[in-house]
Amino acid sequence: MQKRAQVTVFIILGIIIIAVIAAIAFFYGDRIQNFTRPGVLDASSLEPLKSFVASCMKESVSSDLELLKKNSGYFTKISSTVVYSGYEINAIVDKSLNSPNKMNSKAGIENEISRHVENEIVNNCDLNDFNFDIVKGDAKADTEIRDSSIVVTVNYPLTVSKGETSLTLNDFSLIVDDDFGNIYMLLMIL
Amino acid sequence: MNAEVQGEFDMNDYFLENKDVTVTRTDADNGLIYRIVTNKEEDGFVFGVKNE
Repeated sequence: MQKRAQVTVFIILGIIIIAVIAAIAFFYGDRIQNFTRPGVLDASSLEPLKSFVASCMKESVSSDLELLKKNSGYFTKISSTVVYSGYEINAIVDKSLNSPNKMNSKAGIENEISRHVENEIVNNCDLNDFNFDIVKGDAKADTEIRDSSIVVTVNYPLTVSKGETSLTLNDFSLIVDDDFGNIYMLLMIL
Repeated sequence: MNAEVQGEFDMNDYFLENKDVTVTRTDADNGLIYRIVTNKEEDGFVFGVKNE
């Protein structure tokens, strides 16, 4: 009788141990696999890299928007300016000219934002901190100024290798919540 | 988007329908300076209109 009770205890312990191992494998299987086989790359391990590139894009767009709002829709000072307390502010209407409309075109602004994003992610977005071998391709950005947001999509092939595994990231996108499009539309009405 | 107009700016249907935009006008040495502020843009968009 006592022997049977001991066997039952061992069976229960065995079931508990198997259940614990199964739970660990279920919840932490990917991490264990990455740890034991560091050469394995999967989409989830590239998420931090993807987020980092998106953060570089956001930094570029936010800085551009700040400049555009300060400079009447331009990135730098233009020839027509209004002077106030010694400061020069770009004039988007210059009544001293035969063609007074000096407003920067929406397509022109979108193109400049795109070029700045391309430059930022290729030249200033340092990917060396990631524990991968990364081969960068050419970046091609496209920007759309919507009423309440700026949408930037970038094709930027990044071939990421670790051990014997390689994956390629191509597309990055960003939506910045901003009223610039609405303001631009309002300027047209004014 | 709604608008409220300050500083003798022309009213139009756009502003009547939109109450969350404020346009302010300031006299400058050789023209006017406008600032458009929306509920999302506290710093606003600044632009000038140069006189003849």
